[in-house]
Amino acid sequence: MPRRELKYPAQVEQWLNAWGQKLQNPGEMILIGSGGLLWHAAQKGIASPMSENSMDVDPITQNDEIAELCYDAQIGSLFEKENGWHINLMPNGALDGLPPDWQKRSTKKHYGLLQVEVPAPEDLLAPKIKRGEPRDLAHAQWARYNSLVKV
Amino acid sequence: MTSLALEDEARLQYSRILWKNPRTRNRLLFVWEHPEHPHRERFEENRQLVQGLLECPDPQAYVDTVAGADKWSLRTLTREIPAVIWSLWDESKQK
Repeated sequence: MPRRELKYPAQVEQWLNAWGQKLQNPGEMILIGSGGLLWHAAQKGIASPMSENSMDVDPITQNDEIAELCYDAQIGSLFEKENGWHINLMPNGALDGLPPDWQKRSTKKHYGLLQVEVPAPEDLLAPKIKRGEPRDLAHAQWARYNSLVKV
Repeated sequence: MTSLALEDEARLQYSRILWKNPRTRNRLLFVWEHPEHPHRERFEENRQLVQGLLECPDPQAYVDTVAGADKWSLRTLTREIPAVIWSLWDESKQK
């Protein structure tokens, strides 16, 4: 299978549009990590690929229907075979790594019955910069280059 | 609540969410009871405790008062929730 992984903003938008059509009832999901950065880029019409590819996206949900979709798309799944990346469900505790009051700065968007909340780019980058691993710093640089955050 | 590693917290949080819905509960049970699941026997040994952990309102209180803090911690009991192996999870969709 050719390497595809997750690198283009449009990939996140296509995924969310598809899941918005699948949901039978309203549900909410928070998207953190590099998937969130790609989402912000997609909203700005940015098409440039992320400098370091990602293998997964990190959503958080309290909704059973969304959680089931995420389990269906876990590592090793047919979803991953088709898309080249998978879903890595994160717990509520992952939000503790974001700066305080991140929800005041987040953005929400509906895809059919699916409501997606994405923390602001600065908040998404905060745990990455704190971790300071090469891939995290490359994501921060990509976000700055594409004007998702101020320098 | 004792802090859990994110991986353990995710297993507890999402197992509890999926357990609440009868249909997804059946999918979990199909996976966990499957003869090919490597932890099936272990699940059977601790089934009542695991089930209680998934259904209780407060997991930490459940460990402290029901499961027994002398034998279990939230972390160790959470790890008794069997992993969901994708091939079995996919198969459970047809059942």
